[in-house]
Amino acid sequence: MKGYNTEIFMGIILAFLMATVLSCSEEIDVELPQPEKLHYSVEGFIEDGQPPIILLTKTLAFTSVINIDTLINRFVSGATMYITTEGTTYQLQEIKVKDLPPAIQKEIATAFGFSDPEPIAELSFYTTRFTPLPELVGKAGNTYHLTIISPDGKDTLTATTYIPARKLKLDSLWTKSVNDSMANMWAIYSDPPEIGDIVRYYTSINGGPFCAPFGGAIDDRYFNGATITIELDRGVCNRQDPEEYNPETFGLYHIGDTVVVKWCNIDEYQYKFWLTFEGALTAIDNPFASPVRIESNVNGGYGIWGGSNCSFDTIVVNPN
Amino acid sequence: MQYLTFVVALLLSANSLLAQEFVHISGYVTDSTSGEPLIGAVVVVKELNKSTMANEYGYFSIKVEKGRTYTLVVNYLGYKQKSLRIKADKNKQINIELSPEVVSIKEVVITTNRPEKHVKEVYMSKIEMTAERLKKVPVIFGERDPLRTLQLMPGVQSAGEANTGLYVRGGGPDQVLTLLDEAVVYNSGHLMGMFSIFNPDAIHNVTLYKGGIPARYGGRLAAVLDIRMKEGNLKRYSVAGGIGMIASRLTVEGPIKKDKASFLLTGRRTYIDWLLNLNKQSPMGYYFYDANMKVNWKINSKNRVYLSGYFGRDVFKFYSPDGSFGVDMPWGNETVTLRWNKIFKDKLFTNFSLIYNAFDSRISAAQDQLSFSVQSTIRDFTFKNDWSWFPSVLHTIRFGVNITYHQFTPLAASAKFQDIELFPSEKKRKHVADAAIYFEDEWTVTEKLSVNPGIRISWFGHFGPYTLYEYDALRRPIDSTIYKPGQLIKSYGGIEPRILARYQLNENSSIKASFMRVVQYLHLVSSANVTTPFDLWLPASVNIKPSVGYEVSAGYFRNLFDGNLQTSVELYYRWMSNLLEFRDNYTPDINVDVDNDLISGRGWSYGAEFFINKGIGKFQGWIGYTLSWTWRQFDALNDGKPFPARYDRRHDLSIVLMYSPSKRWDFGITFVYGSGNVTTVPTEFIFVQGTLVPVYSVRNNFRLPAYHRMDVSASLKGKIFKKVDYDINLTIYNVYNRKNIFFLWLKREGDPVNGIRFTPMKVTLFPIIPSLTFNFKW
Repeated sequence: MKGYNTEIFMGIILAFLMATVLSCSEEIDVELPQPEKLHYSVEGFIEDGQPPIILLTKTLAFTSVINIDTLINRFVSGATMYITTEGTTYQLQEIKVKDLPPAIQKEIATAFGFSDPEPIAELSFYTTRFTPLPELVGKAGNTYHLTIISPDGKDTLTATTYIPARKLKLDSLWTKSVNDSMANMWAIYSDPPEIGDIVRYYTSINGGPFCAPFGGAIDDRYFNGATITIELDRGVCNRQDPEEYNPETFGLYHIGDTVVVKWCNIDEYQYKFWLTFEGALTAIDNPFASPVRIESNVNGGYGIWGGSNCSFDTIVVNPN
Repeated sequence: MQYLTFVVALLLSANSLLAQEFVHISGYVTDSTSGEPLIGAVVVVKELNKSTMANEYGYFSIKVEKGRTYTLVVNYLGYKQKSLRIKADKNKQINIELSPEVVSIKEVVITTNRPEKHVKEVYMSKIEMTAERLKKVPVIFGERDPLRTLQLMPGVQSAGEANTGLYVRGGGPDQVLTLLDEAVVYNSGHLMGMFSIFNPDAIHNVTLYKGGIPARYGGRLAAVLDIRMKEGNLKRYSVAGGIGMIASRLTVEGPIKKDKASFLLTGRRTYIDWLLNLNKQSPMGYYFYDANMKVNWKINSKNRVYLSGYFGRDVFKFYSPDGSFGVDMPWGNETVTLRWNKIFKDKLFTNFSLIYNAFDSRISAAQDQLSFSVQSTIRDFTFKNDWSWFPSVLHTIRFGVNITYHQFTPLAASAKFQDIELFPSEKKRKHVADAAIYFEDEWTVTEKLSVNPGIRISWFGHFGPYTLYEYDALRRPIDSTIYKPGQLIKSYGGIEPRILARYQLNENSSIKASFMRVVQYLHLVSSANVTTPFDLWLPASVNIKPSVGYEVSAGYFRNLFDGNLQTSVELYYRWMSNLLEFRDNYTPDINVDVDNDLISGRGWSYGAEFFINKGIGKFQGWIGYTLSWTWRQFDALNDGKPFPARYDRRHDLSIVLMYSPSKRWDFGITFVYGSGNVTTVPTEFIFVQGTLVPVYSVRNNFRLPAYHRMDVSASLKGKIFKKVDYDINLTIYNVYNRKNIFFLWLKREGDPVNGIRFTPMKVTLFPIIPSLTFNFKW
């Protein structure tokens, strides 16, 4: 259970006051400040038993007009990356998505939240797989130091993460109908006695991409050592698609769906990142929101370099 | 203390060497029509060319040579000057009653006394305001408000559109010590600060020290707002009131025993909730009410007691029509002050005060079978003893002691699902105490030089019972220490020297300077951009150090045109350390002591204040202009780089004009202009998991457009039923309908194919608002 946020209620009172005192909202002609420079942003993960996958993007000025092309142009090609673990340094190689076999293209697209590889066909990502270089595979308990040198050599980004032990596992998983066509999903898991266990879960529907729901990162501060019953919301793949927020279907599953739950033990850097990432998303288009500064473990840039240790459970949503 | 010994020795030796006999002429200066004390009235001994001022109870005392006859000239702005011949054959206590000018002349309000205090008194950065002057300044909804009028003074800024919060010389609202009959008021605003809690009908005198704070005050960095309630008419019964567009007021006062004891009762309530329900049952309700009461009793010429109190509440409710969701939010202050004035041998005046004050705010909400409540409360119990000693006409010495026990209960939360308590209402109560002793001497060193050196020594302690937790990086408790009741957990001390000096250049001009060190043990932390009643007051603790401030200021004061125009220029520089802010991305968490979510930093502010005031004649008014810079620097915010504070306002201009062409008409006009507030806007997007997320990398990186507005008012005064004075006040707020920005937000427009962009949108609060108020007094 999260702490209660008085700001929400101040939002309520302010909203009513606005209506009461004939407030109005209108466009204003002002020049917003430009960034002193654009930064690099890292979206990199390493899972137990998997190679690292890292995307490097460049930030976009807030005043820009954003379309698919401007987004694709954000992806950075030509960077140099190293990961050091247990005294060994591994070099990562840049791979273009389109150069991979179709099945892997889809897998990569899924890993980065795209349902189809097409938008990212020209994108570069960095890994140790599919390359002649020695392959690095994530191992629980190990620490991974990432170094990135920008294509022009002017910026160096560093970050450190570790892969936590797989201490949190789902004990049971079931669904329950809420009407003739939709159901919600429930799970039980046991939290270990020591504090500090964090999980983030993702769902994949009928072989689709794994997507995390809002609030999908959970720590054990409120129920350390307890056995928890929790409702697992359906993941939101496109967080900017209004259809994802339809109150009739939000968080629910269609009866008949086959759902794979990816249940990941994560490090605290990821937890802080996802929490503030979601906070920043709710601030978009919201007059009452306070600025949220996204926490990052990347020195010299933004983003996340996170370690995970995941288990997978599959369930078919049956009427009951 | 060495200084005290030196002064006492000097005074005693002077007395013995001269071997002269002295007596004291003392007494009270009061209003002849109501018996109210005239705080700060100037009493001049003509033969000695020396003067003194009546204290906050209207009391003065002057030491003079025995056997001679002296002329006392007594002045108070807005009252007829009075001269008395007194033979100083023994200690004498005389009560001097001054008549208001407005009663004695037929056509216009003109005061004949000259505002000598402006250049002659040692205090600088001090603003005094009487209830009478408040009435002439146009204000929103016609609701006269002392704080709103103070905002029009240089060095004082409003906290926002129609907000009564005061930002003084780069300090936040929590850095202003607000006192109502000596009781601390923690939240001085109703309706999110749109109205102050001070009912103008109950207010007698308002004094703001925006710098150069004398040693008798302490506990806040920026300023002192000392508000004294009326004592109640000692002469006759009186009923006064007002009917406005959103609130009405009623005041009853009168003698319990003529010239011996009196009472005052006032009440005020808004009717926004009734208006909302006129057409149909509204799901929302909001109202506030407040009441002031006071009784005082002159036991004899040397003893007087006062009991005063305030109680006010704001209540916001919302219930969805189907009853599935409801919110209840009450908040408010209460104060009780019991005082005893005692005079010893006409030269020693003392006051004992016992004070209780409290502030609480609560949010309760229920949805279906889930309910929760979060409440924050503060309770203070204070003992104060202040002494004024008048050893000679050259010295007024003040000293005293102040002890307060505070009980803070921040964010006490409870929740229930059906009948199951989800988490207990564990109150993380904090028991703290602070104490201070002070000494100051208002000393006329030479004909030209006056000084007021002072020192305040303060102490603060946090006591058990308390459980102090240690947290890990994700704010989860990992260890705890339990303290027993009364066990000292942490203490801090502070030595706070203060000095004010005035050098008279000639009859019409002087230069003044001041230095102060101040320590603040209680802090208000706010996570929103506006001050709200749900902001948290927190005491110093193991994790929170007291804030410390230094200020130097200097000014040139000059009267022009035979005192008709008072002008001044003041320069100030202020440093503050251990200022508090919430860490980035703070969200309240009932399981974590909020101390752990705070970070500390420093601030500095500097500026120049220009003031031209005309306090007498048909035309009155003032122009105040402030040029200032205010900065903050926190290692854990904004990458450690300095950023402009929320209170940073480069230009702040106020023009107030009042015109009283006849006994029946008053006209007023105000114009304010201020540089826009600073706010934080994103500068970049990052692209993560197919989603664009804004990055707020630089704090307060955007200045909103300038704020300006003009208000006008007209009052028609008259009499009905021969005895009832009335006035009808028409006020037009924001007369040229300026759409000032209240806050800015960014609206997403477009689609991915044609392009998405974010458009800056402004929200405005108040358009042009005419209002009519009817006031009466019998």
